[in-house]
Amino acid sequence: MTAMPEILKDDAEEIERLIGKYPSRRSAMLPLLWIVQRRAGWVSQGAMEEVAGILGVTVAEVYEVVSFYTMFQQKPVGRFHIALCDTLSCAICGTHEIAAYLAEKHGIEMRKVTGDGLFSMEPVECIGACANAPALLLNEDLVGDLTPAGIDAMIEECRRKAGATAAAAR
Amino acid sequence: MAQVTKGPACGIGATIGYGAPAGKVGRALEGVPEDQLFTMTLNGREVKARKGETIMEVCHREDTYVPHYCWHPSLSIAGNCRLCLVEVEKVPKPIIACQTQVSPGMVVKSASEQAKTAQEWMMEFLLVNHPLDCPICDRGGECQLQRYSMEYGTSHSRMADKKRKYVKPQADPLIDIERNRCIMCTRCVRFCDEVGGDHVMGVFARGNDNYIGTFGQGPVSNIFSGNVIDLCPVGCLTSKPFRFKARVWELTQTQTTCTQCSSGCKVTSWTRNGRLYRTTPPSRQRHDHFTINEDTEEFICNQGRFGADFSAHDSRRGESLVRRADRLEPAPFGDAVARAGKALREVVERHGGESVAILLSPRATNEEGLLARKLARDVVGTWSVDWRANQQSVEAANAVSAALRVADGDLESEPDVVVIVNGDIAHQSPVLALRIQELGRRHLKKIVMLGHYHDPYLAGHAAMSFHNAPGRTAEILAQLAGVLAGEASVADLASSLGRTEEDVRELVDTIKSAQSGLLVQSLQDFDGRYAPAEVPAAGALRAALGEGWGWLPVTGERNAVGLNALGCEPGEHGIGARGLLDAIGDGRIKAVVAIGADAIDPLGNEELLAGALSNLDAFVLADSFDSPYSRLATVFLGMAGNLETDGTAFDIEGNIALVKAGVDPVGDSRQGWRILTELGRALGRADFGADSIEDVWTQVRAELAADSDATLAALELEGGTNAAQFVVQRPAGGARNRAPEHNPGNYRTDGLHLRSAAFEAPKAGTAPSSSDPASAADGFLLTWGPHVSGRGYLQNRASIAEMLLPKPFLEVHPADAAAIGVKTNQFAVLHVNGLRTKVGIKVGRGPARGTVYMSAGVYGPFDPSSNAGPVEVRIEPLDELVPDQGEALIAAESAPESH
Ligand code: SF4
Ligand code: SF4
Ligand code: SF4
Ligand code: FES
Repeated sequence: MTAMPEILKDDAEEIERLIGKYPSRRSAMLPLLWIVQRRAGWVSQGAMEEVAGILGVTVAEVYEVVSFYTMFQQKPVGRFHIALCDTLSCAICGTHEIAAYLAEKHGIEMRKVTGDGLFSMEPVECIGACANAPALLLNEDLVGDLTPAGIDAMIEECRRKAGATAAAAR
Repeated sequence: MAQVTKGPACGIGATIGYGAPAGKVGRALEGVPEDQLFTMTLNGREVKARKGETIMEVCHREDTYVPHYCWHPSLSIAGNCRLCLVEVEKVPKPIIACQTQVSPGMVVKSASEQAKTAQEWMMEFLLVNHPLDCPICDRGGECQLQRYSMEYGTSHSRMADKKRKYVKPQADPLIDIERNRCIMCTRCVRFCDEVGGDHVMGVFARGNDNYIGTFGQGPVSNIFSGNVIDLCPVGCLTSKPFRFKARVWELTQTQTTCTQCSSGCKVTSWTRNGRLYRTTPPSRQRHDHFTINEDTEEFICNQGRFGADFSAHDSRRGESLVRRADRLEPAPFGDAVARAGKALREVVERHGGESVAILLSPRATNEEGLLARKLARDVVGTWSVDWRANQQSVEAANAVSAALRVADGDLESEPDVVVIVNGDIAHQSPVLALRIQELGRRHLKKIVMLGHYHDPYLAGHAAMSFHNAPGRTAEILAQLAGVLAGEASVADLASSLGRTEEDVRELVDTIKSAQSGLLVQSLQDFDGRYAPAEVPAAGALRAALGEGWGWLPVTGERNAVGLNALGCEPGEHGIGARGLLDAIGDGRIKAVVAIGADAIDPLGNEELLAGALSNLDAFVLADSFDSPYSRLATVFLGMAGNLETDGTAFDIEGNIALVKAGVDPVGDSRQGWRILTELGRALGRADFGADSIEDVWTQVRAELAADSDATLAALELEGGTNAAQFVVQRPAGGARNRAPEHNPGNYRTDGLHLRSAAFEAPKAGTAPSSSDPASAADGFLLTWGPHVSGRGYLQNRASIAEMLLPKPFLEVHPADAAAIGVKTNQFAVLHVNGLRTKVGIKVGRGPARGTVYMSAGVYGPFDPSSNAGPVEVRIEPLDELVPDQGEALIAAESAPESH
């Protein structure tokens, strides 16, 4: 079903600007999907329908793109999503220890969302940060040279941010 | 039982070597300018090639088979299966034939050691995850993969790991998807995108997890979707209705033509024990047996493929019935026909021949048409014979006839420019639309759309579109003709169209500069209201277009061209189908002979028809089914069904082709030509008709193509092409329009040699004034057109009719949709003539602003007896959405079950 613009309802101007950059509307698909993911945290069926409607393509075409790129989440994730690099350099330098530490100390488990909805984690292929292995992406930001202390600081910072927004909301 | 081609022996291990496909790829080089040609070497032979061709295309022309999966002559090149690797001298590694363009002096070896090894290795890769469980696969016996793995592969697999397995989706009601067998050639995806017209299938995920499917397990919704079954080179996409019903080599194949619309597609009927198992595009000979060619370009629509088994419906009746007192009793055919003759004779004696009307189903063969006309004119003595019950008024029917009589265009000539006036052609004559689309997509011809409804299927390929308000098309066509003749100004036309002069000048220049062109005009939309004015206008435009152009009026009825050419129409003097109920009402018609109940079914609802028919002195019905009409008959003559009839029929472009029986008539039923012959004899004309279908064909041929001596056998599909092909000669006058005479003793059989004269436009005088519909104040004008799956009487009897039937939708222009606040797939209430109907909305650019379009069955959304005048409607949006068919979660299928 064609969704009424909902997720992208406030982005009309930005969307038109992005579309204008390309020779054909459909070329703006990736930037639009990024906007969706930033807004909602993940790309839902309804969001794909929205994007399809805006670009004048079928929703199957949007899903082809969404399902091709693992960076697009097809299920809800935590507010802070950790993409932990699982490829060779990081793996040798301790990805698995980091994963275990995150699970034990902070209750963040692979492919799961924490009960408070704040964190989720998934393993990913190389993120191009071998020099700083082990590394992860926290939403769109790179965090490298991971150590237990660094992890604690990162998690602390996230909780602080979440608390701040919660306070602001009150 | 008809002559049939032999079923294939199990396809395994058969030698490979199709001839070139019947389409346009690797086409002959005749007529190609010398500077475009060069020589190259293929497998040691010097061959000619044309600039821009690929190695694959040259191989096709030269009858050299290169194994391939992803390449298809009708589709874009994907180059992803890598099976077509060939050796090219001076190129270090093998390269793919389907994507590599040839160059002068190129030396190609398609069967060298290097090429063969490459092909063998590619086969091994393709089979890495493939189950190769042919004994439980529905494709077994006609599978390209199975064949190739015998021909090009090795007999063992080195794959040590577990094979990938997918969850089986339940996407489409007609097409079964078994992803484990998919080799990711993407033919199905490209077909839906490029030919089907909607990109509903896709390649999802990535790498080893790749899979094909539809979004949210929705259906493959386009009307040509069934073709992906033939295109799929493996057993991933198979036909749900046919699945596991039979092995292909057990079935008998009959090469015939589809009887369901005016595209008249060539098809193969696959039967066993008198039952139709499936219908496919024509199977082709491959060495010693026949099979469907995976490279077929002869696509058919879903209605033809899945909906052809109506003759096997529960209501099928084989025997004849005779009314005694108030009851219909079974009777032997001979007795029944004698009784029918007696009843008709009595009416003729009492009220004269003119009180009898003979009506034909529009899918009647030429042979049935000719005999029905002769029965009417020469035996009974009546003008009243007609096939046009589907047209919505006498005026519309006459307009259709006038257009068909002088039509002189076809797609075969590949015109440079195709001008389409109005119409939902894809839903009325689907494959005709598909072929127009191919002209635009593959052959880069220009498509121009005019009128007030633009076929959405074709609109995507249009170079230019000019909408006008409903009811103004005739005026626009006249102005365009005026501009071409230098009598009207571009400025005036531009202001009528509401477009810039520049736009309109481009239109005019495109038309003027074309070497050849075709004017395609849909006659059947909008309950025929506009045809009476638009046909003469299009005729005048056709005349103004001059040399090199042709006119192709389109109506969906199967044999409209043939029945029109044979004069199965009442002319000015008789009573046609559309005047029938009135004429029965006032006593002018006392007896009706109907050949096929669909000859009368569209005339009104059952109640209305029953009321009229019960006033007749005699009602003789030849049909295949029990129906409300059979129960009213004086005599019911059991008639052979669609797969049980031999004869010939024309497609809308005027090509003749064979309709061939694949099974014997059920019970005591007879073919239509036989019934008509026997009726003529029962009416006292011992010499009437003929003793074999070949004899009747000879008579038809004498009228339509007197200089030909083709036998029916010569019309048979031989290896895919019609050995003989006629283009109908369209005469005015002659035997077919001779005044009727009730003259049982003096029957003439003068077959006239008839040639169509120079093009002559139908006279404007024949058009009744059309009411001005462009006046809907705050409402919308409702227009609607028939749908190939919604024609009613027959199509409803197909075993999976409900799956083929279109869900009625109302198409609204985007600007109008925004104004009244409706969206695609939102429900709305349509207020029509005081009635309310709930419909789903589709926002689209088919209709002009101010107009809404509904695709529907024959009747449309309202009572057929009351559709005079423009129909104004109001749309009341509802806060409710059409339930989504693909609600199942994507997540459920997005990950393979295991690796
Ligand atoms: S797709 Fe072909 S090769 Fe594969 S199991 Fe089916 S018949 Fe056998
Ligand atoms: S389903 Fe068949 S046609 Fe489609 S990609 Fe797979 S193998 Fe090719
Ligand atoms: S387009 Fe018409 S003739 Fe061709 S398969 Fe479909 S219904 Fe039959
Ligand atoms: S046919 Fe050439 S790559 Fe598939």
